[in-house]
Amino acid sequence: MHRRDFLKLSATTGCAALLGPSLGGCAGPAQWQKLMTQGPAKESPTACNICFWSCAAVVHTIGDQIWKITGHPDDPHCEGRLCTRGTGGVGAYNDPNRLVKPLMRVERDGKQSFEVVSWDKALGFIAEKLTKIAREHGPDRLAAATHGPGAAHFIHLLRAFGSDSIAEPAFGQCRGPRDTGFYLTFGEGVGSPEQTDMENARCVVLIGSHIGENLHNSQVRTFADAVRNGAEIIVVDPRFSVAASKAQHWLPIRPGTDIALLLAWMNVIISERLYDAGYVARNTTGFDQLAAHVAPFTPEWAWNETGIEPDVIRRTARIMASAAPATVLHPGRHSTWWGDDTQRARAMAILVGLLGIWGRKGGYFIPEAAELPEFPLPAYPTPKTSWRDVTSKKYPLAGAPLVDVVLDNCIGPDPHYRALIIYDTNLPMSVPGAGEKLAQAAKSLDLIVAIDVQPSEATGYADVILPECSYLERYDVLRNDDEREPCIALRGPALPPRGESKPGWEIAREIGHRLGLDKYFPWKDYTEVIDWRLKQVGGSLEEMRKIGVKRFPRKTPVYYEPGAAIAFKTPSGKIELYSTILKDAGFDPLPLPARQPPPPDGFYRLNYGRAPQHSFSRTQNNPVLYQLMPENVVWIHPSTALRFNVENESYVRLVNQDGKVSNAVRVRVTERTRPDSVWLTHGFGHTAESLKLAYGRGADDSALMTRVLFDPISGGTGMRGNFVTLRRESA
Amino acid sequence: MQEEVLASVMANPRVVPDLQIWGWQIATYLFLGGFAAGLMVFSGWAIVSGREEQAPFAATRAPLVALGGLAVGMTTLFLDLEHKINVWRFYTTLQVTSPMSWGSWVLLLVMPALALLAIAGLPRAVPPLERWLEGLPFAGPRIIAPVFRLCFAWRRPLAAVNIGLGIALGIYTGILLSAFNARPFWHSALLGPLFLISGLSTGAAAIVLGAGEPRERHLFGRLDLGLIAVEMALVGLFVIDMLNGNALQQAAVARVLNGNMSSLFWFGFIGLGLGVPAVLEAAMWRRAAAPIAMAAALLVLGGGYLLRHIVVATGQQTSWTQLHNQFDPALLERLRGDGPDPDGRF
Amino acid sequence: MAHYAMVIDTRTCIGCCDCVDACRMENKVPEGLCFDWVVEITKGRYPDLKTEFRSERCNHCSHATCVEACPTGASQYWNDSNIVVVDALRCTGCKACIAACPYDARLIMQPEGYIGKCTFCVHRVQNGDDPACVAVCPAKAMHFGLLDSPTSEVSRLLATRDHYTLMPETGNKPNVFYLR
Ligand SMILES: Nc1nc2c(c(=O)[nH]1)N[C@H]1C(S)=C(S)[C@@H](COP(=O)(O)OP(=O)(O)OC[C@H]3O[C@@H](n4cnc5c(=O)[nH]c(N)nc54)[C@H](O)[C@@H]3O)O[C@H]1N2
Ligand SMILES: Nc1nc2c(c(=O)[nH]1)N[C@H]1C(S)=C(S)[C@@H](COP(=O)(O)OP(=O)(O)OC[C@H]3O[C@@H](n4cnc5c(=O)[nH]c(N)nc54)[C@H](O)[C@@H]3O)O[C@H]1N2
Ligand code: SF4
Ligand code: SF4
Ligand code: SF4
Ligand code: SF4
Ligand code: SF4
Ligand SMILES: [Mo]
Repeated sequence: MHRRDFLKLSATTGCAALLGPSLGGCAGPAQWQKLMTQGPAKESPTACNICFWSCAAVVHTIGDQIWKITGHPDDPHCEGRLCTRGTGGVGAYNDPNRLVKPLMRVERDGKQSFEVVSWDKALGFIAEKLTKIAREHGPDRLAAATHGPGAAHFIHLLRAFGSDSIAEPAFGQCRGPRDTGFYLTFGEGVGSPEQTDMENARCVVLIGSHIGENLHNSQVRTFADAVRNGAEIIVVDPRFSVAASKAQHWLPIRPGTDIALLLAWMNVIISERLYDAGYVARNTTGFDQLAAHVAPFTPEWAWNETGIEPDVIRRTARIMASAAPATVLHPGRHSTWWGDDTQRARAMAILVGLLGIWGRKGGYFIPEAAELPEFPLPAYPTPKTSWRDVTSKKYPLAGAPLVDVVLDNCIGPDPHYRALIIYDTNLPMSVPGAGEKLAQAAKSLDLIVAIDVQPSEATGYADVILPECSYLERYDVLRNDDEREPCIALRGPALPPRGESKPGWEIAREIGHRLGLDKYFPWKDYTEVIDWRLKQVGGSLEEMRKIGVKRFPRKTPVYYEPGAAIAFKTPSGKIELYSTILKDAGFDPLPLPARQPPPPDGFYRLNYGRAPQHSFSRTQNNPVLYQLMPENVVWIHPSTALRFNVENESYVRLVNQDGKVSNAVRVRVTERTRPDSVWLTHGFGHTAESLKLAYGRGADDSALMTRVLFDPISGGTGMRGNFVTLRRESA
Repeated sequence: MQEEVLASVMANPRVVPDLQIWGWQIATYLFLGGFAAGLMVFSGWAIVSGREEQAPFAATRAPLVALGGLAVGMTTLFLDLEHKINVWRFYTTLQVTSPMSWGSWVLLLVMPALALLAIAGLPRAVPPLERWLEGLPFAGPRIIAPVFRLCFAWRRPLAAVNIGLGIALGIYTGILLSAFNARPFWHSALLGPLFLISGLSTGAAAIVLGAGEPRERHLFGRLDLGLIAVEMALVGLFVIDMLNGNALQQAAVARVLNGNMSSLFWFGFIGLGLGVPAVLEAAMWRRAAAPIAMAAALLVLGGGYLLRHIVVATGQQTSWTQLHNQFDPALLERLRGDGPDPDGRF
Repeated sequence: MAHYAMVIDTRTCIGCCDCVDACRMENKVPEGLCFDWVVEITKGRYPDLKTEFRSERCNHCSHATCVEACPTGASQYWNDSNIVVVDALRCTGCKACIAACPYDARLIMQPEGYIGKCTFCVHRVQNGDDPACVAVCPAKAMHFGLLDSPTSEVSRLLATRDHYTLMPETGNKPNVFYLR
């Protein structure tokens, strides 16, 4: 079967693979009266996976029922406080629409459908296909698109098999440009969690970053610390974000002109000699070129570009400089905006260098992870072709595989890749244009496997859908991030897997065994790996099941000594204000401002981002989070409302510059959006019918992103260059 | 410009986004409570003032009608309870601050007093029933007949008690609402008197309807005209009170005067419920024509219900708290399975 | 009398609704209902704007009109404190208390029909824990404690920071305070 149609899991085919209803009431005394006398609940440690911030948490169960999930008090990611989404994690377990049985695409009488099959059949089918591909084309022709901590098991599987083509939307659609820009400047990217020392900052500068709506837990908490401590908050955002509402200085910038503002700030800081001269002299190269470069970019010039008045630019530049080094110029995170994103990140990184805040208290601290040995396994084979071979033709400086490029190489009569594994990512909604690409790839590829917890937009293209159990029902790789204080956190099961769903490690191992990769999976149960690793640092799984989080003392200082000369991992060993790498690759060695075309008449910029109640496109069907936000609404400015004669609660469709039409979406008329823009929360407008709550609710920003502004340096897919107009809906 | 929206969704049924805790059941109960109160007062008055001959319906049958009305009213009140198994809890305590608690005790006193008055009048109200009851073997002569006699003998003091309790009941139906500071439209001291007078008016109308004799019909028709006049004055004062009240009260009364309740108020209550019957009754000042008098009485009864309906509904449309959902709150109904598509989720 | 108060800092509250979420989980609030909610207030015109978030719930009024209106005593103060709770075993569902609450803080529990509301998490407070919403707030914007002691965190915050309550003109003497 070669031509695959997108299949919706319908009631007739897929119902048995989804969980049934589970609602009930109770009579008698009130809940609080019962709670007054309720015995202690069972508590088991986990790490949240509603986003990959992976806050350590405690699951409280009563019998076989999950009661609540709370933050682990010792965890630096959450300090005992999960975010809205993490608290709503209960719904990830209770969602009645979860996948609970393996499904395979079958064709009967010319009609394709998904059928429930045994694990053995599904895995056997996958192994058979992969073996054939390895034999005929080589194992390097297997690619994967992954996300999240659980991806480690499948990355391991691919590397063992002989492929390193593993792309994640968290790079090309998220951090790619930022990390590339900082990498080019500092020789290293910005960590995750970001090493921003906001709790000690006297000034915080957010460029875009909508912390508050972006609910990365410790970021929110430390930002709130900064607000509480009375730090000067400078927020550059065309929209009146939550962060902007906390700021003394909100700079409602003309979209897409941040580089101009950054250059003007540098102009002020250099011309008024507000930079940390000693730090710059000791630790940077290219200052003179930079000074000459920014000289023409005066605040007066930038006013015309950005719409920000010169005295505001001067004042904010002076504030951030006088607070330095206790200034957090936040690197941002989702940075695939306008196609000039690596250069914008460069401009931010250069400013970080000028202010001398890298490695300084109140600026960027130096993160450290625990020294946790890997489980001893044989070395991976070297792939015959690497992801670089397919990527570097287009993006020579791309630091990681790109989902786009992988998909492009899955298409055509003789595609480079022959099979695709999709794990924990929903490509049609997270990568602009990926829906169509996946549809085309489905015609060319020999095998598509999707491993997911729910029937998503991506699973519809798969030959085999494997149901993973939720994070509350499985072990995963130990969390050991670079952070302020080294610490390890455990994700362990609080409940048995629902239905026939299985943990990712088991799925990966089962496929591995069937591919003859036994030596890479020499254990029966993944707990052996966890236990072995913990024992190397004086712990054990048994201990970890009790404590959940294990902290370690730091071995290196959190900050550099003032006045120290720092060794950077750049070619020059210094902060490269002027980038020779970029120059050699044919790019601008110093960032240049760009301009974005204004919206055509009657059109508005499509702005998008997060709402605190949801994660990407993964939580809209979560019954707990659905209660907080069952749909997205489109924010329009009152002047837009007047023009289209719509008001609150009316429904409209958004039509983009290429005629793409969205679902009907409710209007919110608000001053918080720029008059030339509209705002949508990302992740809504699901087309997978078996997501009973989420299906058809709200508008999908991704589907309206038909104009992608590729960043030539990082390969990021700039998403902000799209325009929409409104079409009134009758009801 | 000020925008105030809910960041979360609030869909607590019948509380937010719209307060709809009390509907026709409570309006009916308040109406029938007032109606029964009116009948009690007039029945008592007819007996105490020695007008039993002149007003036979009021003196004998009216308590029966009141009893029936009140029973229906208490049934609708019961129907309104969300947690019916605990209805007996009303009578395990007297909560001194709660008009509803007082009301439930008043009802407990009203029922027997009214029943005794009804019994006193029963032999003349429904003679065949009396004959049949007294003819019952054993209980008839030994228990029922003496009870009838006793009640009849004590009918004057009973009537006086009924007047007092009737006034209490009538005022209580208004006090019940006016005690709610939280609902600006109800928070007026005039609501008690207004409901009392309206109750008397509906009581009088009921007697006009039931009276077999032109004399009695004429008497209560004229009485009713006076009550309507007083009621109109009270309505006017109530409106003025609201117009002079706080901003929320002004907004509430605006709903009645020219908002969503205005056609019911002007055409239904003021026009058909008060104005037309007043004109008809005035025209019959000297001589009543039975069909017209009955038509006027029916209109008064309808107006009485409308008054309760308008007050109960409008009071719930204005509150201190204004919460606006930005997301469609009806979407949460899908979770509870009580939305338009109960299987929506599965 | 134990005088409990909740103090919420609107300067740091980000409107994330975690408090609503945590309350639902902790108190097993039936799906679709809520004991607390978050209001967003925006004033001004672009770009001169001010937005404030406010996490709201029952105010555990010192003068609780709901308790006064209840005909059965089901609505009551808990253990000589200002914490207002509803005893489901006494509640008739007459809804007088709902009509009496100017803050619309009460609800009809589905499907049982007794009246529900924020309990200030008495079941946690009795053990000395913060209410669930306070304990979860990622911005640490919420505080809970006794006003009887002048050194408690809530007393200190109220003594040092400008604050307001919702509609004090109701006369209900609300005990959820908002710091400006
Ligand atoms: N609740 C929740 N939180 C999350 C996530 C989630 O799914 N849900 N996802 C997490 C992930 S992976 C990421 S990457 C982050 C993303 O969160 P951020 O990294 O904070 O995302 P940004 O794109 O920087 O921020 C979006 C803001 O940029 C503004 N903006 C639009 N155009 C411009 C412009 O031209 N210039 C400037 N200066 N601003 C502009 C928008 O108005 C919006 O307020 O959030 C993380 N946090
Ligand atoms: N239009 C638009 N596109 C964007 C963004 C945007 O703001 N707008 N943001 C971008 C950013 S910053 C990022 S980081 C990416 C993120 O993009 P993705 O990584 O694709 O994130 P999700 O949309 O959350 O996709 C998650 C998928 O994983 C599944 N899943 C959830 N939990 C589990 C689990 O435990 N196991 C398995 N196997 N599967 C699970 C979900 O069901 C869902 O199908 O999106 C990017 N794309
Ligand atoms: S930030 Fe929130 S969703 Fe992400 S891991 Fe932490 S608690 Fe979970
Ligand atoms: S949890 Fe805290 S920050 Fe979030 S809405 Fe509630 S009070 Fe505000
Ligand atoms: S807020 Fe309402 S429910 Fe809470 S104590 Fe006050 S009056 Fe009662
Ligand atoms: S509904 Fe229940 S708690 Fe409320 S007033 Fe009636 S009996 Fe009291
Ligand atoms: S105090 Fe407890 S019951 Fe009240 S809103 Fe907070 S979590 Fe809910
Ligand atoms: Mo991201």
